[in-house]
Amino acid sequence: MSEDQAGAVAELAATFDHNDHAMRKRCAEVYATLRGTCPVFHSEAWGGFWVASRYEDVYEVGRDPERFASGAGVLVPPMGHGRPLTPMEADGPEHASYRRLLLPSFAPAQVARMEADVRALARSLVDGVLAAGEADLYETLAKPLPMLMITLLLGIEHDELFWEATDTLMYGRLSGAREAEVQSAARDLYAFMAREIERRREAPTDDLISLLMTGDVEGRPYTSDEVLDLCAFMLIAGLENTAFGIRATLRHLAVHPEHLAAVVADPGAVTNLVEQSLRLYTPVTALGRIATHDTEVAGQCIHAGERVLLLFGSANRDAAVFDQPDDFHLDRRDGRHLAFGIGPHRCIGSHLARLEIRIAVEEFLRRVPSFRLAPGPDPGWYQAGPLWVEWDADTVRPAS
Amino acid sequence: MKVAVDRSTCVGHAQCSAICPSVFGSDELGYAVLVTADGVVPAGDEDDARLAVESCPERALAVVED
Repeated sequence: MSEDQAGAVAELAATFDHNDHAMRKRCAEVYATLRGTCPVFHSEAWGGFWVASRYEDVYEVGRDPERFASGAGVLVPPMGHGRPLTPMEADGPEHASYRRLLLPSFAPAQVARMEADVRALARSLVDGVLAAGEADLYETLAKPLPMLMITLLLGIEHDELFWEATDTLMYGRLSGAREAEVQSAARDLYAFMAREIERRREAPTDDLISLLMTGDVEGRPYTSDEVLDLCAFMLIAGLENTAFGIRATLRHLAVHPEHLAAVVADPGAVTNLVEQSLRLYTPVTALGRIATHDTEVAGQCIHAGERVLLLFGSANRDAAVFDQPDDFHLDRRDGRHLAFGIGPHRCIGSHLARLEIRIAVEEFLRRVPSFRLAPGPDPGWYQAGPLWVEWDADTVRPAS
Repeated sequence: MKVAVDRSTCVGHAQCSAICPSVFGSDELGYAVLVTADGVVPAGDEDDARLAVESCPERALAVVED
């Protein structure tokens, strides 16, 4: 490497921000450079953090909660609303207890029983856009589907407040929203959830909120705050990320007619389509851990209390694990990708998220087997936001 | 052919049961279980079983007899 190149890489590492859309747009090149030259590097962004960019290092850190803890926060930057996002931000017996309680509700067999509900919701959303010949699939399908489904599971009424509040919580801190706005959105959301919990104290139901109220850890029932944090996180955890996944997958089809034709001809291929989309357009690009004591990753010294970011988006493009890692392989399974994390914090909602992305695609293609991006610049896969597509009226298929 | 599951390593990605359901299932928590006695792979399912083993992100599965 020349001196100029070395300087450029040092600059790339020092200013690295996984939230930056311009970086994500060219992430194939950025990630490959970082993995190849400085696999564990330090960025000065967001107060400073280490980054593990290779699959093997992400695997090692993610599977070692004794060395790399989650309880002190995993989001970079943090949401800033002052409450833990449990069980994602929890360690030890509390974390184990939360998962034990929640896992049966999100296990594959249980999620398979949700398919009819997800499909009915997706059908009704698709029906709503057919006549127009064009649609913003982010607003009309990707966003509402996970929102409607989680309200069903939590046993709550759908409310526009949820989306606005979670939108502010997830993206506000990145787009320069004022601290007060973020705090106010969090207050609204948690106040709503506190009322729902209170209602169930008097009249328990069979939904997720009631289930979380029954939890205990090391012989004591959960505190009111623990129940509230769990319920609030259940509401927001799968919204933006699943919407991102649905949007990125539909956008991929809109710009790759050969893959669109292939999955229309063989609907069974949608499973691989979803897995490749998750691998290449990883909705949760990165999550952090905090080193519990002085340690090393790939020879790099990490001090106790320092943050290490697991760069899932880069691990998923690591040529050490995936051949031709930056290509979309519709004919390949690639089940080892880390889109849902690795180790004891593996996303509990992964099976539901997969189901929702697959059904959204299946139901849209069932009626609209041929579509393309609307005229204008390609909005890209790497950010949330509008996805305008169009189709010819005479290609729309009947409902049955 | 025989496969094995390390239950202490599995965290429930469930790639195995999705790829090769004749050999792998999942328990009520979503963790992998073998659905055939001793992990014996039914004739004809060897490729799927091998792909399932390779697809485990946690590396909790192994081919123990080929």
